[in-house]
Amino acid sequence: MSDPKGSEAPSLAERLDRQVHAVEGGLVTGALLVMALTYFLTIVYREMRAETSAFDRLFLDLFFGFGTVQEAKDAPEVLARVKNVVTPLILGAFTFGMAILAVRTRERVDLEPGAEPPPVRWGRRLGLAAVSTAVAYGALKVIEVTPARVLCLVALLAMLGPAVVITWRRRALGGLAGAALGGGLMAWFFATKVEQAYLWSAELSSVLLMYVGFIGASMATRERRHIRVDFVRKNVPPRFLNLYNALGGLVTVLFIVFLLVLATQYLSSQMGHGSMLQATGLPEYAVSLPIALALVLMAVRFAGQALADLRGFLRGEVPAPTGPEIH
Amino acid sequence: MLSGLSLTSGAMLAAAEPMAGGGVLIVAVLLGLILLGAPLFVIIGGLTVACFVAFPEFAAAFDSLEGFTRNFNLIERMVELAEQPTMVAIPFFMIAGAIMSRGAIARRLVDFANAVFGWLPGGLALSTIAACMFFAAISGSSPVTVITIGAIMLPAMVAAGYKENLGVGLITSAGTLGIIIPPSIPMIIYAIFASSAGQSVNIEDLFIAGIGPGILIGLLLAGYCILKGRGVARERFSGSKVAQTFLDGIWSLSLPGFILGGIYLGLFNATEAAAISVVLALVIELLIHKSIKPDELPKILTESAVLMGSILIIICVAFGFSEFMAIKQIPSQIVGWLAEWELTPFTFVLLLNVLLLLVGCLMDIISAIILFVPLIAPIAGQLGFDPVHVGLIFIVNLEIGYLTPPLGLNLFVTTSYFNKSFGMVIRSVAPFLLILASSLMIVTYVPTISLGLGNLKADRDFWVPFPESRVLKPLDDGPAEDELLDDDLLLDPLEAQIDDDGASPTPKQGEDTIQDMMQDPEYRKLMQEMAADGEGDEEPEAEVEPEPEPEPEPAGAETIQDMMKDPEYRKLMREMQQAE
Repeated sequence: MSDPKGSEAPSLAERLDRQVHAVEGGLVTGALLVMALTYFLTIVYREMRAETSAFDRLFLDLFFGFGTVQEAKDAPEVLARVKNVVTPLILGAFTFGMAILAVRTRERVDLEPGAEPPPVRWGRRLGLAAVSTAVAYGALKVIEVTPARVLCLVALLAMLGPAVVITWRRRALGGLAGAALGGGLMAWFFATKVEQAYLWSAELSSVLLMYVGFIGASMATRERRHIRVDFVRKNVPPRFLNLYNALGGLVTVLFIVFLLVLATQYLSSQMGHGSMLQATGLPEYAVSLPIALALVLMAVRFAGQALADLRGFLRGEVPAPTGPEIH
Repeated sequence: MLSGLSLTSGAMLAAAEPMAGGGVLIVAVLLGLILLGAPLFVIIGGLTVACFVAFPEFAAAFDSLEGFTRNFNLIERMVELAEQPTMVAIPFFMIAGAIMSRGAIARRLVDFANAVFGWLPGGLALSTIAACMFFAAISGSSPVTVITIGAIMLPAMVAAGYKENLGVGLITSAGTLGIIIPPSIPMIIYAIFASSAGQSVNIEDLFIAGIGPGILIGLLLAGYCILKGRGVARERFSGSKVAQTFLDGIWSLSLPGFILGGIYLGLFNATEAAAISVVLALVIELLIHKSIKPDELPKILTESAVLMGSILIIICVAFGFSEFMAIKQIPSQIVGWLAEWELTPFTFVLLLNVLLLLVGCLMDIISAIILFVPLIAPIAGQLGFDPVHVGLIFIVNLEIGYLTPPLGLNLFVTTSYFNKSFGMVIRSVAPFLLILASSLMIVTYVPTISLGLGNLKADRDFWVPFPESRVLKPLDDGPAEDELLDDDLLLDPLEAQIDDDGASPTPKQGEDTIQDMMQDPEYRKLMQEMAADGEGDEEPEAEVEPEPEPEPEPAGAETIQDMMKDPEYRKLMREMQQAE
């Protein structure tokens, strides 16, 4: 299922593979955004709700020499002052300062190199910075007081909306399907498994990592981007490169099929157990499912590529040289 | 392949003894896969399968798929990856790097670096180094640093009158700082694999340890560039220009500060820092710099997923190989073999450097870490090396590997992206290789460079002496029975890795690793007895195997790893420890 390089119309299998690739793209994009978002929400929620936040502890140590929170608890008035005055003041001032600089950068971002910047309008700049600071603080407060279920569903909708618009505009139906599938599953998870807090977020990220990683591996197969030790390949005469690739692909297919058999066996045994993950309440097989799915896709893709390479060899074609893989 | 395994099963039914010609099989599989140009995950996976086939742990194991998975349950190892919170940091840092690299950050960094260093002798070269260091701290990738900073600085250096050789060599070499200056993905992978080999490494410690060597290499490169760039015309210093470019680049410059500062001050751990860096990168590039549009995000994220996928699958199969080495006590055997040479810490790291430099010439950095860390980290631990220090030795060695032919990645990147001949790039890089080799020696023999900053943070002595001249001893002096019920025993090998809350559970040098303990006959006997007790009447009782020749386990009996993951077992172990 390699990308057609010639002028031939893509076959049905190639078109199907392209759509599957687009679905995969939609899924991993959504999964990565959800991972980053929920991790971020967790950190904010934890720090906003904590009796003493990480910043409180830092300032207690920095300004008052309390190495531990326990020491500070012996001086409750200091603790209260840091928590209610020092920390908000310093963080507020820092955010305001950075917001002023952000507004300044935004004002100058479209300037041509060497062009004279427009005169500074301090009132506008300070006003926008104050609004930005207030918005930032308001957002933190919203995260603190809003139940995780509601916030996550709202955030999911906020991400899905633009995704649907973008994919629809591009007529990228595969991407749209991926976004809809991933979004639907996440919406189900947030609606049914999540309540007030974020105890589940690390586990959810780890589960999603498996989907991102293995779907990513499947996508890397389509793009022929798996890491290889290729010093032999570089010395193969161009005429035989397609045959060489086909042989390598065949061995790879065998290995993947072997893994697939193991994965299927493991998956079915986990499905039989019916046990659940502790923090998310998801079935345990949700972790091994992407392995099996990705291995199926990888096996098909490697087989397709091996076949295409073999055909190329028989036709006497020479594959195009590739550049170094950047990691 | 499966049918092939079934065919060989008859030969393996008798006992769990090494297969005749097993060594030949392993070498043949390894060479065959390399020669066929199979992807790296297939090479490592095939090697692992060959190892388990040639040296099975349990007899009668290859007559069925179930029997095979008793020896080698790779999928289970893959699934355990989901229990590693630190793994999540890898895609997060990839995304943040990709977002920031797409934006206008490189130009801002270069402008600021020029304003600060441009007036010094070799000013433009110094600016290049500074820009590479800052960009490396954002992108975490050497080749990306070479391309992004090089695209701006190489033409500028040549136009300003610097020799092209100097520019090409500098860009190619300074780009390698990408993996030393945190955040660094190879460091995360090192931490995971060193920890799986029983040398618990905290990623935050490793990140902080990268700062010293990064600055050292930067300074050495700068010294050379000052010497070479003396005759070139330079700019006048302008305080207002420094202030101007600083303010223009403040958000770009502040991101590494947020990440490293946050980790150093204990505000968040590495994984949290990674998640925060994604959010910050999005805010900076979407809202402040406006250099990417929302509809570009799917491409960036998909690209990160593909990179993640190509690395993750290698890590997964490599866990199987690490497991084989742990089960078969390969590191202890190597230690036993090396002990005959009476290696001291000094000679050990000398040999290690030679080995890693050779490996760096032939292997991709991720593969090298995955394959060699589980082998070398326990040995280094035996000799009294801090695993964080060993990590930096690894990273600096493999950083040099980016520049050494025949497979130095940065050489190819410079050759293809800047359209230079391969020979010219190698000649240009040669003097910088000497500088990097010198810094490697300093990092190797002065542990303070790596460990000093972390020690300051932890209120320990800044100065760390090189490990005492003790001679390597075999690892097989098992722990006393009363030492076995350690906290670490409550964890399985993969869980015992990184304490994500920042508290470093690094074992003291000389302590036994989890794997060592798991191999201890007494320990295994105890585990099997406990498992048999816990199974009740429903499962056949696991046989207690007399050592040193274990009998085959009956079907249905759990492996030690299974038992260790059993909640009942863990509870029991905790209770026993509390009772003690």
